[in-house]
Amino acid sequence: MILASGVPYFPIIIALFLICCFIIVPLVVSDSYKANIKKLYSLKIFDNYFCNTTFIISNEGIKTMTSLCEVHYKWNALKMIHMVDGNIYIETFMREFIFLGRDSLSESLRKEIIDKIQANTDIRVLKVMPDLVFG
Amino acid sequence: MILIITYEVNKSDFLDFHCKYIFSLITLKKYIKYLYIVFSIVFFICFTIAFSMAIRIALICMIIAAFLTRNFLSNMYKRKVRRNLLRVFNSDIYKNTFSKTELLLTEKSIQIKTDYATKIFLWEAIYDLHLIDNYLIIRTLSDEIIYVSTSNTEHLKKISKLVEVIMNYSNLELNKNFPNDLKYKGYIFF
Repeated sequence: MILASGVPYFPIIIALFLICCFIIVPLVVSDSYKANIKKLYSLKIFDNYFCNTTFIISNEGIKTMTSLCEVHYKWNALKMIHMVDGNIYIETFMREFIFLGRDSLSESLRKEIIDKIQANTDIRVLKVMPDLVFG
Repeated sequence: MILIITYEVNKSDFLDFHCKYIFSLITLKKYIKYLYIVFSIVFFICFTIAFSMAIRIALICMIIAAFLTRNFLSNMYKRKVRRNLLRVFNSDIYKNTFSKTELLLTEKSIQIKTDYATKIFLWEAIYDLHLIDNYLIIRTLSDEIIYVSTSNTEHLKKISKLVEVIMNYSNLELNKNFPNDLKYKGYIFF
């Protein structure tokens, strides 16, 4: 029906379809993603992520200290390192992430941290984002 | 004041406990309601097409179908949740909770020690306390939920003291129901 009655409108329909695919859908999707990520990080679980943190590497493992809690991971708890745009995510196998932002670290310090971790364990460095999905 | 409790969480008992109470979670309730609405709309359209000549029979069929789908959905979902939870509990993510843990209580903090990590939580980090069946659930502001099993009768005195101390220092109330906004690591309901 549409094809038969609207042969002159056919190019207009294609143009509208292309606009919808390449402009409107990406805009809507990116906005919804932003809202979801904001929702995720405003959960109570993540309060510890945004505290003032001191990060220590010792012979036994990694230690992070905030005003809420102190966590000491041994070397066998670490699983992978993700490095994206200078941000470092250290992933443990319990699905906990130690996040080191690029604003607070210089480049030489970052290299030193990764070298020290790799000297003690045999974990890999990936250059993709970890899947930060929590039920 | 120093108090030490060593305990180990039993996996099959833990699974039964979660399967018993998981349907009080808000997210799961919402999801099942959503599924129910979708299913009933599909049935509604099907019956209106099939019995378009006799609308009374169609209405009766719709009501029966609505009741049946309600039971069917909850039964189906119980099995699915059990399977999925078992898969998650067998993975590496929950290795730490099922290993032997040593809980140490001091005047400033709670300390939890396992083979993989030691964690020290100050009183400000604790925001929720629940005691149901055989488990004490302590939720913290970091990404960690502490499950203390109280099935061992030797520890009962120590655990009652632990609850008292936590309530004293952090001004929290002890809830005796399942927390209806609990999060499972690495598991989404749909």
